[in-house]
Amino acid sequence: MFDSTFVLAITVGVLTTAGVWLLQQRDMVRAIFGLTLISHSANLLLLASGVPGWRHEPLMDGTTAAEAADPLPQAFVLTAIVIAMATTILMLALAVIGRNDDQESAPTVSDNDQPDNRPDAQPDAQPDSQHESQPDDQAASLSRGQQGVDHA
Amino acid sequence: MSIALTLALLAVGLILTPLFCRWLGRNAGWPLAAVYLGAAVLYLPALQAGGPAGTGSEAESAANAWSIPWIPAWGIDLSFAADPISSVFTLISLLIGAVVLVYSTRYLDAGMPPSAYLSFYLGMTLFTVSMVGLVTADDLMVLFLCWELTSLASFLLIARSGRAAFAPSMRTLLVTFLGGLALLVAVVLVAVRAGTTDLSVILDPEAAGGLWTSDPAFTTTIGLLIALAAMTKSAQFPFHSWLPDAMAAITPVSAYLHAAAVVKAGIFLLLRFSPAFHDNALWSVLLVIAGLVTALVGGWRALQQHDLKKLMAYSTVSQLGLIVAAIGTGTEAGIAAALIHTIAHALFKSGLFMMIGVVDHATGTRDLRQMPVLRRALPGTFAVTVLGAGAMAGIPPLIGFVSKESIFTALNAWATDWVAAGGAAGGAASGAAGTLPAWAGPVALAGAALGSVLTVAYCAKIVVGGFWDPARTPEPALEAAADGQHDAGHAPGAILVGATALPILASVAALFVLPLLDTAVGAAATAALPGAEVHPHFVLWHGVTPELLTTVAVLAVGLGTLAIRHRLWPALERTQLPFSGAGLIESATSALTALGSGVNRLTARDAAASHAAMMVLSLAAIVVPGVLLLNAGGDLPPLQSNLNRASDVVLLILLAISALGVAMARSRLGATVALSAVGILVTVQIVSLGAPDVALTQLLVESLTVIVIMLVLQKLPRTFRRVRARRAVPAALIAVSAGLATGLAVWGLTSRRDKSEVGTYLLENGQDITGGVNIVNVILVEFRALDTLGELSVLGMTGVAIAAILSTIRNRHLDPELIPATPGEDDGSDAPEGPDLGTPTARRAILDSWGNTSQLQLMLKVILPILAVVSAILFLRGHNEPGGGFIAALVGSAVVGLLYLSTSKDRQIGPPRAPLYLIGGGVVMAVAIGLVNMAFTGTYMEPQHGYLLGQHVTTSMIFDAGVYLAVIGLVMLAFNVLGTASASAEQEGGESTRERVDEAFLGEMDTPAPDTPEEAEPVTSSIPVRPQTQHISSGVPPEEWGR
Repeated sequence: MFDSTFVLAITVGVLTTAGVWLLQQRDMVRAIFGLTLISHSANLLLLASGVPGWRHEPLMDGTTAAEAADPLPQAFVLTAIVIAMATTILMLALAVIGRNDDQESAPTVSDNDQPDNRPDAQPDAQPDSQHESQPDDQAASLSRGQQGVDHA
Repeated sequence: MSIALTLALLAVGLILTPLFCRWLGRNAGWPLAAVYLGAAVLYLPALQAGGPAGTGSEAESAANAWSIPWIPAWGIDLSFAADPISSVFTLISLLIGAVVLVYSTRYLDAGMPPSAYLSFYLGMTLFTVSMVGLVTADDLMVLFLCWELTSLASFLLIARSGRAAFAPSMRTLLVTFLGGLALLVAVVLVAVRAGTTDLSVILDPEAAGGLWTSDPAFTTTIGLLIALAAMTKSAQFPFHSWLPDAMAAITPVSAYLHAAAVVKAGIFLLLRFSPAFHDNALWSVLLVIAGLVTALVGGWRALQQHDLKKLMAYSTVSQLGLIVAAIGTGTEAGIAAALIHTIAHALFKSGLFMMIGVVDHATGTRDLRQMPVLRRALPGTFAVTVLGAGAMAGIPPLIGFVSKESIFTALNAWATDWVAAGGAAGGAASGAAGTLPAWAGPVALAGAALGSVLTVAYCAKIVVGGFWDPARTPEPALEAAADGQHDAGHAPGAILVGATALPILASVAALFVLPLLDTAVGAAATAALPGAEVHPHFVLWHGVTPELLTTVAVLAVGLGTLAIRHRLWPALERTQLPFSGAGLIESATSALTALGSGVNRLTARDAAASHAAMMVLSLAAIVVPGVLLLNAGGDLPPLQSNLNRASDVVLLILLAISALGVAMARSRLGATVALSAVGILVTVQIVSLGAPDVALTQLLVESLTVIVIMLVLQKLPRTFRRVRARRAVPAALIAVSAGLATGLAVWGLTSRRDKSEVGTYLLENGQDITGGVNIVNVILVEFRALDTLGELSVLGMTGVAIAAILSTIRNRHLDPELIPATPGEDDGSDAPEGPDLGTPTARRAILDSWGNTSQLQLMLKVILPILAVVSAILFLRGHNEPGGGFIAALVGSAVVGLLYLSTSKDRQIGPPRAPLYLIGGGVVMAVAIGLVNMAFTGTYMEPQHGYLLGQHVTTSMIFDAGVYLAVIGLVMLAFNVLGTASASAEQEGGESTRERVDEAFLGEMDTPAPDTPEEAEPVTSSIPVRPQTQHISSGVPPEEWGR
């Protein structure tokens, strides 16, 4: 029974579950945390691909090639960690633009531009006003966001 | 070689077309016509090409072929060869093209801007090049490309006619590309099966080695795909509707493409592949039936039209149907008949199309019902039309009579002459094809005869309705014009009428050189039916045969319709189908578009949630059943032994608790703490997996990321939104399926093999090759240095991207006032007077920030030098022990972080532009050392090794230094531009995010750059930086190069 157990697989699964859960939330910061968890789990997955039966550090003055862990996944993961840091910082910068890190009400074009400058802004504003009465409705704010993009 | 010269001259013409149009305007048609004629002359030597490819002598085929390698890896050559089939179509394209170009010089209005002429002439020449390339292609890939190019050129020529032509041109493109896709599939299948794309090999029955005989199912499939492609291009039912649609193009385009060239590309394709499929029963039956149905439908619809040009389009459809049916017979007589009718049709139909242009110019209408008695006003045109329409109707002794007679003969003999595949050899392999029932021939003849009755009827309608009868709905202006009293400017010139007459007169002249046609058509038909020697004999008088009797009956009935024309024509014009082909294509297109946006809607959101959901669910749908099936089937090798440690279990439990904390916390701070707990635990897990470098990196990255998170959190509400049940339930399901899928994937697909060969190689030889003991580090900076360069560029670009994005955001979105997450909830950002705190010292200690930072500042005095030394040591020892550029840089970044945290309020670390200089310098340094290494070793990034002061040093340390600089740059930039908030900007000496971002590009500034256009003034900077950041936000356009 214990032969077919692989604890690291469970760890990866647990981290992914929490990460995807967070990614399904509305707050941008939660989504970023979710991606952080997912990259942790991806890193462990990569390391697992090096077969964790061998766990000696690949420093060749202290171990032998037969015992050392596979160094290639480690190099991959090292790269991945640093890149994940870069993307996390970029996403954090994006999270503070606009209001309340809400992923589902991005600033629309009409938010960004003075209507006077755009003669065609008026028709765009029309459907918006219908939704303004129910700002909490996700679908409404979603369609607003998309409209803004469409007419950009 | 002559074929290469022909194509080269046409290509030169294509390149010179813009110049011709600029210099000559509409008269650019003259030099281009000369180019076409020159190309035709250059082609003449190729006419000597004897039989089909493979039958001529080596020297002969070399003289008529030209080839250069194009994609050698796949054995694809840019190769062209002339054979009799291509000669027929090349000459049609070039000669008719030349006439139409001359016609265009007078048809187009003078005095338009050169671009109007350019789009026409460029489209025409592009089309001709691709058409000649298509018919002479000797490679499947080249054939396919030219095929698609003709579709594209045809599309462009239709679409250039203005807004009304957009929808028709798009429908044309869709239909022809549908056939193009079929052709592509056929080409790929054949290329894979045959192992070559050389057309002359593929179609040569001996050289192909049983390609077409060994597998009847394969042959039939390819045959159907080729037939489908040809039927779309040649407007065969049910794909015919694009051709009437294409009448939105101007008349010269129709006269060339829709009479002589593009529609004949399908005919060409059928002839080109006839060697392979002529004896395939399905091919034969499909083509004959489709051709005859097309002839009937086209003829009937033509008779229903009152627009001359639409009428002509449907008549083209019906004539193409007859040709396809003739090819379908697969007999010598059928192929020869198809060829002669192709030639005849190209001649009379292009002339008739040009005639419509003449009439249109003279009267201003193409509507038969409004046409006055034109035979008096336009006698020359009338005579030409009579000849052309007579030829189309097959009235003896015009050429149409000869060609239609041959088609009748071929169809009548279809059942008796057609030989099934393998039939000649008596092979039983493909005996399933069997033979045709005896009644097939006469039935086909009857169908063709009925189609011809319709042909005669609509030809009569053209002549009588257009030129003889008075207008049914008279328009005074037109009457006057017809009398030649007014509007002399519209009277057609000699060139216009001459060009119109030329092809039709040529068809008359051809009657006197019928033996010459015998030779040409015979050679081409022989090429299309290898193994046969076809010697057709076209004459006007065969004696009294069934075909002649049919022709007499056809003419009698067809012309008989004239007697009842006053009732027949209006009745037909009124009865239109409730649906049209164009409408069907439109509804198919919009249905597909709706389907596409429906699918798109699943993921096309600004929020990440639905993207992730779709990806995750697809992954789970594949992985979970996949791994379970593999496991149930016993296909998985056993797991390696010794995979688990007790520590793994402990870490799993702790990680699960922390991850649950991140997932469930409503407090942002709480979530952050839980997140860093996860980070630390993962670090420990990594250590236990034997990856010290990775663990060090992870730990440092974790701490830096947490600092940045804290900077960001200060600008956000204190709590996350409440998660509602309607979101929570699906999210939980998606999350669990994701966890299940990844967990199963790791369990099922990893750790079931030995250590990788690459890894073992690196472990065993890494030290010898590089002199480094730390294999992970030498992989990063030596073996995979290029990857690391990419990684470091990503880091650097992230810094630049953050600054660039922030600089384009308007001020009010940059440091917005906090909005409570839930209405009515206090986010605590405003500090009230507070409780009575007693003494001023106590107040200061609690409310003033500097008091909280003094300890850290004191500590830093000790720690910073130590960290600096640690960073240096990590950097230097990286090659042999855990450490290296990244880790050292992260420790250095920790210095930056600690410095930043130790201040009592937000302060910029370092000079404003330092981050971007560091990033740029780091990237440049890494790239440069790679180049230096290349100069020494010939390989980019291969490091040099040496000894300095007794220490082993390598140039990869300089590379590492580049990494170091870029990392520090990114971290500094993140602190500087994310550390500000609306509160800090209001303090004495505080700066807003906008100011920081602008300073990152421009250096120190006194005031933030204005946001609104009114306030905007050009930002002056002592240092000239070209791409200034305020342009987008301020609305002041940048100065640009040029005028």
